[in-house]
Amino acid sequence: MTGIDIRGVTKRFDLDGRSLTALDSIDLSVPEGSFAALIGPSGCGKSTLLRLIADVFAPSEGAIAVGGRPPKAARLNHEIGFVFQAATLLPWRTVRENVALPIEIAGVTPRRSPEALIRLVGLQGFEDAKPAQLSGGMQQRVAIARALVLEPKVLLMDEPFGALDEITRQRMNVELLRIWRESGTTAILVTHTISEAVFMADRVHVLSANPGRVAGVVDVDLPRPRSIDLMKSPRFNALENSVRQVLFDDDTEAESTPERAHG
Amino acid sequence: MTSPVDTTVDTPDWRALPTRGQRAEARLAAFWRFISRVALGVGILVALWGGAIALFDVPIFVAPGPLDTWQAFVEQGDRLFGALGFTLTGVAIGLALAVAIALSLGVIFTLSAPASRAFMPLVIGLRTVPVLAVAPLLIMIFGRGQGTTVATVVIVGFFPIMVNAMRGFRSVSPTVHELFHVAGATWWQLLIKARIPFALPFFFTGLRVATTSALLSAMLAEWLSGAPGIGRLIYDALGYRDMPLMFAAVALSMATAFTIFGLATALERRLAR
Amino acid sequence: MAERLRDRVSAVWPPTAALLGLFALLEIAVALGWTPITIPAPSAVAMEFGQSGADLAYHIVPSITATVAGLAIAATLAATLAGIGASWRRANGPVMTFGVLVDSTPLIAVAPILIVFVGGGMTLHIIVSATACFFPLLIGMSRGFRAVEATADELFHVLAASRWQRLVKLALPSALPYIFSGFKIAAPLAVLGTLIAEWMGAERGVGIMMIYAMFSFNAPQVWMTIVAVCLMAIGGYGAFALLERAYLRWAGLEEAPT
Ligand SMILES: Nc1ncnc2c1ncn2[C@@H]1O[C@H](COP(=O)(O)OP(=O)(O)OP(=O)(O)O)[C@@H](O)[C@H]1O
Ligand SMILES: [Mg+2]
Repeated sequence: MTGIDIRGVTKRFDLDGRSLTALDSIDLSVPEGSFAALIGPSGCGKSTLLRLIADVFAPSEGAIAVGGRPPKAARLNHEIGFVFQAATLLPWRTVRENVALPIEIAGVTPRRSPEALIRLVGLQGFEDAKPAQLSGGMQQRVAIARALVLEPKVLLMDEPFGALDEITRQRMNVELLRIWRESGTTAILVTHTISEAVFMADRVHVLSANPGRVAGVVDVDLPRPRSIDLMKSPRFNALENSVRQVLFDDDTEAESTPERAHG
Repeated sequence: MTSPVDTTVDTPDWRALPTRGQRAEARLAAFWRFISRVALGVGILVALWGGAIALFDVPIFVAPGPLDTWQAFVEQGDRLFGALGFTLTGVAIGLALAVAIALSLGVIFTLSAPASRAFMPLVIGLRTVPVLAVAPLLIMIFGRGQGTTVATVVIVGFFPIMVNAMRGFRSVSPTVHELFHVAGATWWQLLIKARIPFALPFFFTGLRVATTSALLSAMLAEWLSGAPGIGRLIYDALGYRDMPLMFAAVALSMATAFTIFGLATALERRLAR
Repeated sequence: MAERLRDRVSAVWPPTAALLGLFALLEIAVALGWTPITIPAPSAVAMEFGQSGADLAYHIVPSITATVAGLAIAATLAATLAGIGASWRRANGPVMTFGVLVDSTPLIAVAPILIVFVGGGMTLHIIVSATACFFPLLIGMSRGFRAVEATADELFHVLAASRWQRLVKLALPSALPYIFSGFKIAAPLAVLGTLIAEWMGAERGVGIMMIYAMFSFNAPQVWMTIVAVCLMAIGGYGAFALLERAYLRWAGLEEAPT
């Protein structure tokens, strides 16, 4: 019962008295336990959409339901795990203490200990290290462990591997899929990379910019569990091409209709 | 025609940069906001002061109200401004000397790495120390005249100017250094075309710090030494219980301090660009 | 390890040598009678410490008390005002203007007004000391209260943290480096404030000891009190610098810019 339903959501920001429409009538739903990817050009409102789902902002129009309830209820119930683009670890806490932060704040005893989560993301032995002693990829893994420690029903990830090199990134993707399957949460991943979107998701939502709209949806019918080899298959390439098609079709269209530009 | 791929790249638009006029306008607006805030603050202070004096019925030989103070200000204006002029002369001479000494030493230290390694830590260490503490000593050395005021201002102003100038001379980035080296520039060209321009913003910061503490230092020196400046006037007035004159002198020195502070800060902002 | 030590030594010996050289020169100059009576030999100042040590101890106690009290009062006031400025954005401008006004007020000018109302005793010393060190504390604390990273703030929001949890687990640890650097600047200023206030009048205090020494033209004693004041200032600075170093090392943070 923790699918995500977004109905007619518009988000406007006030910038020095001018109104900027970041998202315009977004309709999007993510079934329970599935993995969705959001892809689109920079500034199209991907991060904004995640923040709306996490109840960081409220939508200007429309409604969002997380498991049938408003996002605020889900947040206060500690049902949301969020992974930011930067790891955002607290530098004065050890790896273990960072992962345990949500537990301290919620004041609950979780089923899985921080140590178990640290093992899950493959960082056993680093429990007492400080974030500054870890590489970027390791820090991001700590952030994922922290997001998962309360077994959230919804896992929101904003370009979690954006700062990593290609090789580490693919390894992390495979690990993330394994973790996701074990935890059974509903996941949304924001990404800039087409192959990553196709590799990870059950469904890829393509957004267009100025203002952010849903340009199209590509269903990924690749079998799970997925491995890196899958990326060489013709089916994978075909899916990548359909995502690319939606992304760039929309752009040429946007150019021919200048009235849709920033207002 | 732009290719479709271009739209995924965020190209910053130079037209979004503020123009000179807009920047000047914004600065002016900020200036007036600051002035009006200060005026409001002073207004509230004066009102509180007058109200308290009236409410507690304080006699004039303890503390005068704003009106009595203003009267003293009008009646003894010559004396007040004469004393202020004496103090400000000392401040100006002291600051000029401090700049000259600090900059010459700064250039010497930049020239000579051993001298810099030996003396810079001492200079920086002395900066954490309240150098104003030496004022009584300066009085013993320079006696009861303008000399003590000037010496105090020099000694207080020297450290911030020197340390900031050194920081500035060093702020030339290694790549600029290499650029000048590759271009075959002489040491002198490096100083004129790179070190000094890079150091200017730092120098102005140092000058601002020195200037804002100069008035306090000068008044203190006068008060201790008995030189006929505004600092002495305040305590003379306190001594023979001419409270309106004392309050007028206090108000005048505070107004001067705020003006100097405002001018120095504004000048730093203007010139540090 | 050995290399670190060698770096340290090579950074420390030139200034130490310069200082000792200056002392030696002074000593010789005094021995040859080249200096005025106001500049005594370093050895004479050192001997003065031995002779008037008890006197100095008697005078320095209230000075330290006033300095510590002034610093504490200024810190409390600065924390309150910075807290108001940080949690209520419209108050920030006026708070800062107030800070600038206090900072640019010549202490010597307001002191006589204070003398009229509170007299020339310990109360005056504490108030002047607090005024002298208020501004850097205000700046440090308001920067500190703003030092929380935007994404960390969002993290705590998504985690549904209470106000108290945010304060204790996020705001305070992020603010401490800025607060420490504020205290580092403030401590010597508080010493200076106490000194100035004591010059104006005190029964006990290094300031008044210095003035007596000046009037009796006892140059070594003036020098001794100056050195004592400098040691107080360095001690205050050093104490906060050590605290800061320990905290930064423990917290894995960078030193706050000043
Ligand atoms: N807090 C905010 N206040 C004002 N405007 C905002 C805010 N957050 C986002 N915006 C604006 O909304 C638009 C969408 O921003 P958003 O960060 O969601 O884009 P994005 O798709 O995540 O881009 P990127 O891929 O570069 O991260 C941008 O034009 C941005 O300027
Ligand atoms: Mg984003």
